[in-house]
Amino acid sequence: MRVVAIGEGEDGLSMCSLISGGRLFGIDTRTIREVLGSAQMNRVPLAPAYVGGVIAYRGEVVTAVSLRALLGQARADTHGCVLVLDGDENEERFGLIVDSVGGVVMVERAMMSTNPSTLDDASRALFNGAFRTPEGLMVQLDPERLRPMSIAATGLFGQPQRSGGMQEGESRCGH
Amino acid sequence: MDELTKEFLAESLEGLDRMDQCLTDLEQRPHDKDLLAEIFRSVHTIKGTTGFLGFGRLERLAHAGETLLGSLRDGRLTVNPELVGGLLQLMDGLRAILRLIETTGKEGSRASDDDSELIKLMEYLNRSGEDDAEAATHPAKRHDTAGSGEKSAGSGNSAVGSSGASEKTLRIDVDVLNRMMNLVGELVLTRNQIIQSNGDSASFPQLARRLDSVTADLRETVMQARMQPVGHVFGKFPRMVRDLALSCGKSVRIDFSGQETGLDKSLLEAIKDPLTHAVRNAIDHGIEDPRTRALAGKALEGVVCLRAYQHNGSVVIEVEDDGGGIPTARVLEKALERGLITPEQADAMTEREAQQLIFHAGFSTAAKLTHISGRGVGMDVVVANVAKVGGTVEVESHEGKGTLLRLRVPLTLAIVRALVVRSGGQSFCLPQSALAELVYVPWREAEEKVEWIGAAELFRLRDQLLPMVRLDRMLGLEGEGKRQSHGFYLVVLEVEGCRYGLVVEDLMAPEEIVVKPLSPVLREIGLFSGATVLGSGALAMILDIAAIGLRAGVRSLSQEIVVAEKSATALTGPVAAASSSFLIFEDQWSGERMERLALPLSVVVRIESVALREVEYAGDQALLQYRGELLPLEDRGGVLSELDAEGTATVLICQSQGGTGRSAGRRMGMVVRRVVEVANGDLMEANAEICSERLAMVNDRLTVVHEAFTAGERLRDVA
Repeated sequence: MRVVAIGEGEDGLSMCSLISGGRLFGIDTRTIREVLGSAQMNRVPLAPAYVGGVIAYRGEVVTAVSLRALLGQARADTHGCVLVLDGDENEERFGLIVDSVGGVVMVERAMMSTNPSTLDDASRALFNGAFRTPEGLMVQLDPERLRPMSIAATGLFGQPQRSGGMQEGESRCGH
Repeated sequence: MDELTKEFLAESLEGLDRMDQCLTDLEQRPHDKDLLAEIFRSVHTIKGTTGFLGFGRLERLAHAGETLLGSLRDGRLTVNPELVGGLLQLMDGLRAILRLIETTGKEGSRASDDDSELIKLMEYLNRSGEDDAEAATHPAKRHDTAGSGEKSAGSGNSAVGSSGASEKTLRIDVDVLNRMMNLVGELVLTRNQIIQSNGDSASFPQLARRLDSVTADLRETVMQARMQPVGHVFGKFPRMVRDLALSCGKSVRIDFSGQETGLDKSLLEAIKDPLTHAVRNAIDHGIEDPRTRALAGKALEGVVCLRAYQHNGSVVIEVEDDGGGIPTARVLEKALERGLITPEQADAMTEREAQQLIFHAGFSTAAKLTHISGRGVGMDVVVANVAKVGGTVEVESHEGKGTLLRLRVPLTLAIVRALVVRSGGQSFCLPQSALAELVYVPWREAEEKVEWIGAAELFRLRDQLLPMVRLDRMLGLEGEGKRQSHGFYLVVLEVEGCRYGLVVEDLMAPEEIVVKPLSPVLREIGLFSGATVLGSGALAMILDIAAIGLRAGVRSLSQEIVVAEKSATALTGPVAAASSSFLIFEDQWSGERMERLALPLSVVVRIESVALREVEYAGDQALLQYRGELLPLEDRGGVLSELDAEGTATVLICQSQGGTGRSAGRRMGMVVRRVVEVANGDLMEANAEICSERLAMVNDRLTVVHEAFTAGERLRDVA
C-alpha cells in the first residue's frame, strides 16, 4: 500500500480510521486519548439529539457525541465504539460514538482534498476534507468541530429537545 | 521567584492580616503587653527576613515601624487612635510592597514607590511620644538586637485568604498528611489483595469491608484537611469595621462567636465576599449614627455580631446588627414604584416577605432607595454568590431593633447524601437535603388520593393538597418504565420555599454520591445539577429540584401562603395559615405524666439556656435581661422554683408575629422543662364546646397549644 510507506513527519499524518453507517472517516490519532470499545453509555433525557449519552471516564463524566446522529444516519443496531478525544488544553474531554474503529492509517498531508463546494452546511461544519485511500475516500473529522459546545454553536444540529423519543435508539448504541 | 521568597511572602502576608486584628484589639485593650509583643515580633520578623533576602525598601519601612513599636512596647508612648491609625497605615504600606514583590518579583524603584512619607509619619508619631514622656534613650539602637531569633508570630496554622499566594495554598498539619499517606498505603495493599484473591469468593466480603473502611477514613481525612475555621474569614473584619465606622462617623463594635466552626476551603473563599458585603452593609446602612441611637434610647456604640455554627449538615453564618432595621413600608413603597410588585401583592405581603424584596435584583440599582431605606445595596449579588455554592440567604429584621442576615452554606460541595430513584427506566439522584418525606401510593388508593384541578394533579397528604410532578413525563421518558408495579412513590420535596411531590416508579437505597460537573451542553437542559457514578457503576443524573419545581410551575410556599392567608383571614381570623411547624415541649406535671405542649415555631425566636442566677425578680414577675432588652419570664410549670442555685433553665424566647407599632416583635421568655421536638401539625379551630384550650394535631396526636401563642395574638389585637 502506498499510503503506509509514508512515515510521520512534515507531510505524513497518522489517522485512525472509523466506520459510521458504512462510511469511512478518519481522525488524527494525536487527539485520541483512548478507544474504549463498547463502554456503558448512559442516555440523558432532554439532551440534544447529537448527544449519545454520558460515560464515566477516569473520575470524570464525559459527554459523548453520536456520529450517526450528526450525519443524520439511521440508528445503529449494533453496539458502538467510544473514542475519548482530548483536544486543546483547558477544553473539556468528550467522547465520540462510532460503529467501529479500523486501524491507524498514514496519509500524506498534501494529498488532502478540501471540502467540495457542493457539500451541505452540516457536513461542512464537521469535515476538514478527505483523503483517497485504497479502501475508499476517507473523510477527515476535526475534533475541534466535534466538540459538543462547537456543535451547539453551529446551531445546525437538533436543538435541545423538550420531548423524549430520540433517546430510545441512541441508548441502544451504547451497551 | 525562589521558594524562600515565596514562603516569606505567604508568611508575611498572613502575619500582616493577623496584625490588623491585633491592632484593633490593641485599641480596645491598650495595656495588653502580650498583644504588643506579638505585633512587635511580627514586624521584626519581616524586617529581619527582608534584610536577609535583600529587599531594602521593605526593610527601611519595617525598621521605621519597628522603632515606633519599640517605643510603644517600652511604655514611652501610649496607645491612641492616631497611633493605631498610623500603624495600620504601616501594615498597608508593607502589604503593598509584598504584593508588588509577589507580582513583579521586585519591590519597586519608581518614584511612586516611595515610603519616605510613611517613614516620616512613623518618626513623627514616635517623637510625639518622646516629647511627652521625655525618654532619653535613642530607641533606634536597641531594637536592632531586640527579639532576634524569636519565632514569627504570623506562622500559625492560619491561611487567611486575602492574598493570591494564600488563596491557592493551604497549611496542613503534618500529622494529617501522614495519616493520608498511611491510608493511601492501606488502599494499595487492599487493592493488591483483591487482585491476588482472583475473585475467590470466600475472602471477598472481608476485602470489600476493608476497602470500605479505608475509603471512608481516607475521605474523612481529606475533608478534614480541607476544612478551615471560619475565624480565618472573620479575622479581617475588626479592621474593616474600625475603618468603616470611622469614615461613617459611627461607633461600632464587632463581636464573634463560633470562629472555630469548620468549612471547606473552597466554600470559605466563596462566602468571603458576600460576608464582607453583609458586614459593610450592616455598618453603612444598618447601624444609625450616635445621635439617632441616643434618641432611640440605644447604647451609643452599635454592635455587629458575627456568628457561625453547624446546623443540619450545613454551616450557618449570621450577621446581626442592632441598627435601624429594614423599614418595611419604605421597601414596599419603592417596590411598587419600581413595578416589582402590584398593589394587591403589597397588601397581601407579610412583613417578612416584604423584607425579602431587598434581595430583588432591581433593588440594588435604585440609588435613591439606598439612602432612605438603608438596605439592599447589591443584596442580590450576595444571594447570587451564596447560591452559586448551593447556599441560601435569608433576612430577619425588626424595625428599630436591627437586622439579621443568615447565610446558609453546605459543609462541602463534593460529596452529598442522595436518594436514588427510578423513573422511565433510568436512575436519578435526589439530594437528601431537599427531601421531606416519602409516600408509597398503591394504585388502588391512588384514585381517591389524587385529585385534579384542571390538568393539574394534586395529592391529598394529611388533608393538605400537594402539587404532583411526574418525573417521567417531565423528562420525556413516559411509557419507558416497567409496567407491572403495584403503585408509585411520591417523594415530597421542599426547596427554596417550593413544596411538591415528585412521582417516581421506584426507590433505591440512599447513597453518598460524588458530584461530577456536567458538560455545558447538558447543563443547558436546566434540570440536572450534575451527574454521579452509582455503586453499581452506572451513571445517574442529579436532579435540580428547584428547577424541576419551577418548570412544572410549582409556586413557592410563601406565595401559596399569601393566597391561603388571604382567604383564611376572612374566615377564621389571623391564625388560619393551615399547617405549620410546632415546637413541642414539656412543661408541667399533670397528675401522672408530663404534659406535652406545643408552640407554633414561628413564634419561637430562640431556645436559650439560662443560668438561674441571671433571672431577676421585680415583685413576683421573673425577668431576664436578654440582649439589652428586659423580657418577662413565664413559668407555668414552676420550673424555676425547683432549680438549685447553680442550675440552668431552658427558656424559649418568643416573639409575637406581625402586628404594627409598639407591639411588633414584643418578646417574652417562657421557662420550660424540656424541649422535645419540632414537628408539623395543624392548628384546630377553636371550639369552646370540646375544650377551652386551643388544640393542634401534631404527629397525629392532639397537643395543647400553649396560651403564650394566644398571648401573642392579644398583643396584636391591642395594636
